[in-house]
Amino acid sequence: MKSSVSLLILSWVLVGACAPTHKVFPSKMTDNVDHNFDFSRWRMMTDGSESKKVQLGGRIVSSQASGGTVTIVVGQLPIVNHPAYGPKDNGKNNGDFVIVFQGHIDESDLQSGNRVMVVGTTRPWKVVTVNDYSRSFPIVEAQCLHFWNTQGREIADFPFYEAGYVSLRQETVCAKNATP
Amino acid sequence: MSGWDGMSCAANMMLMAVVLAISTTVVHKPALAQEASTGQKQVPAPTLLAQQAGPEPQTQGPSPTIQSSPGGISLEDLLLQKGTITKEEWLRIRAGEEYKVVEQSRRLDNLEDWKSKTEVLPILRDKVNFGLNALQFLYGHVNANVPEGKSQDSFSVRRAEMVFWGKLSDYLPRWHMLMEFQSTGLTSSTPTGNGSATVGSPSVATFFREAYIDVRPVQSWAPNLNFIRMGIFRMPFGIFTETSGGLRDIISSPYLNGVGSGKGNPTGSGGAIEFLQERDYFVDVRGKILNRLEYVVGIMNNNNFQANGIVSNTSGIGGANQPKAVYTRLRLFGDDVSFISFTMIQGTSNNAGTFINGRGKGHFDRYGVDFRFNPKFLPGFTMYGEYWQGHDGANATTVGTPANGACLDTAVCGGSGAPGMHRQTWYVLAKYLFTEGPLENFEPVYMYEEFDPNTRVSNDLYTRHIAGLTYYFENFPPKMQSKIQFNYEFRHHAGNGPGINYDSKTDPFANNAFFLQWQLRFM
Repeated sequence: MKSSVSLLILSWVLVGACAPTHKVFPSKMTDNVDHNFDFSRWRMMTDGSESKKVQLGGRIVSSQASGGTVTIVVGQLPIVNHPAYGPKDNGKNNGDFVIVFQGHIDESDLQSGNRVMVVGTTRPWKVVTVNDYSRSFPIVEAQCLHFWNTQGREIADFPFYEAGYVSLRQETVCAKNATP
Repeated sequence: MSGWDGMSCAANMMLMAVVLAISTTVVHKPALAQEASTGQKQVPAPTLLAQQAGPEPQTQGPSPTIQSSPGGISLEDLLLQKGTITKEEWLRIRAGEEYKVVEQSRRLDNLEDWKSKTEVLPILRDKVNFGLNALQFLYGHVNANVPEGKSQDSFSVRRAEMVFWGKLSDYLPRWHMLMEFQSTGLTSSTPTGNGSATVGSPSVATFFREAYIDVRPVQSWAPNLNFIRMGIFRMPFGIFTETSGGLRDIISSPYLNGVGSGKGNPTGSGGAIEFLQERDYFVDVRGKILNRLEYVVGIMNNNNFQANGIVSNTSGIGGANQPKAVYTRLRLFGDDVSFISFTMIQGTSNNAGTFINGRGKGHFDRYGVDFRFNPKFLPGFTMYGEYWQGHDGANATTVGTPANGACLDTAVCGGSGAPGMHRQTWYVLAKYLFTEGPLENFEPVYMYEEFDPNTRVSNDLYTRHIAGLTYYFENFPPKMQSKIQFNYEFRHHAGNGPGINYDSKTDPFANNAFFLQWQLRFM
């Protein structure tokens, strides 16, 4: 009995280790994404001459929703597979960018500190006003967004969160007119 | 052109001539002066004068820069050249400006100094954090008759818990401690002896409730093998046991955590019973496979949170009887927050030296199923429940009552004299949070539960309905949750088994109660 249980657990671990990383977006939405996209170089190119389909991750700094458009200022973070799939804080200021999304996003998903991933198209720099503060940012026009409601914590901190067990609430939203 | 027009035109021309003359003097002269200062040696360069006037100020920062006009010459230089100010005045002005620059540089140096100091503070590097897990003030009323000196109504601080945590590295992703600062009661361990022996004396009072270390041995194995956790913490037994006191939906704990009062009896139905302990000392492995199947496998002391392991640092003898138990839980997720779990606990228990009510000597097991359903199409609605069953060893006892062994002769072995028993309990809870409209932030909640202390005897069933209403002042779980809760409990207890005298009037589990609780939580 004990050996069969051990074998079962070992099998799960092996299957899990060999399995591909789970995806948060519909697979057709990530077609043609530039996987060699250089975020730092893009931030330096203020003219935005190149428009590319990208997948970026980060931490929500601030956000504002008005007139069916949601504007999210995001501090870029690298997307990692371990210890948990998603944007991971590397302790560095990698630079900010803005996600513009046409549609509705729940307020709880837009809390500062939440982790977010976006699939969308790069656009030229633009002055963006969020919470009465105007600044110029590089823009990503979002097709799909995925939120981890971490409230500033790491994704890997969940579900064994502090003094108890807390399931990490996640949400994926796509624009109505999103096309692969 | 009319006369007024002609006069106006002449006046305009005169005005323009004056403006032109002034601008020529003010704007063009400095340029000429600058050319003269660089091209003609007989005109002393103002900057040279400044250097001659005194020693260069001693600073550790960047070299001071003197503000000058865009043309490369400062206003005081110009005034000096035009003879408007004297050399002494020019020196005073320059000295004043240089002082300002030095002062600015000194302030920047101080800021840099503080920045370098604060950057390494542990609290800014996620190495040390602290928060208020739960501060709860409770008013309660229980309809049961109470003895002289006690009251049916009471104010109390239910929880006053501070939590501390941090991350040391990717390999040591978490340390954690939780302190309960409310007045903690003394706990008696169960002494050995028989029915004639004196009861145990208080041996433990602890406000130290949780402390654990997480180790993530190989980064690339996570989340499949996420981490190894060791210490004392909420056990991964179902939903309620693992839910922080600051995030619970009802005020009272379910009966699976603790029910009954008084001493045990030979039916196995009487006395206090702690079917599942909330905390224990353990080491386990946790992970998640294919983002759907979460597992926990571990071993624990099986003697509650009061039983800290080592009392003697020299002999290594433990402070309490600590029979071991292994446990495992598999949790299968339907989506990110809805799941079903299967839990198993196997091991031994002892009635001597125990800190858990209702435990006998011998084999011990628990099997549980729990679920949580939080549909995406109705985000405010949540439903969850647990079902548990398990065996306790013979001669179960209550904490502090002498017990020693599994024999059923209380004159010899103390305890309750009850044979081993099979217990069973379940509950289901549903709630709905209004997120808009006039009832925004209100959350009605309903729960029903049953606890059967011994499935082989009758007249011992505990049942309870809880109807509640919660209002959230702040509701950003898990970080913040400030709320006020009202619960009314409809309680019923059938008795302590057949043939046992039972007075329901004095049994708090057989009489209705209501509670009102304020809570703050911030982490």
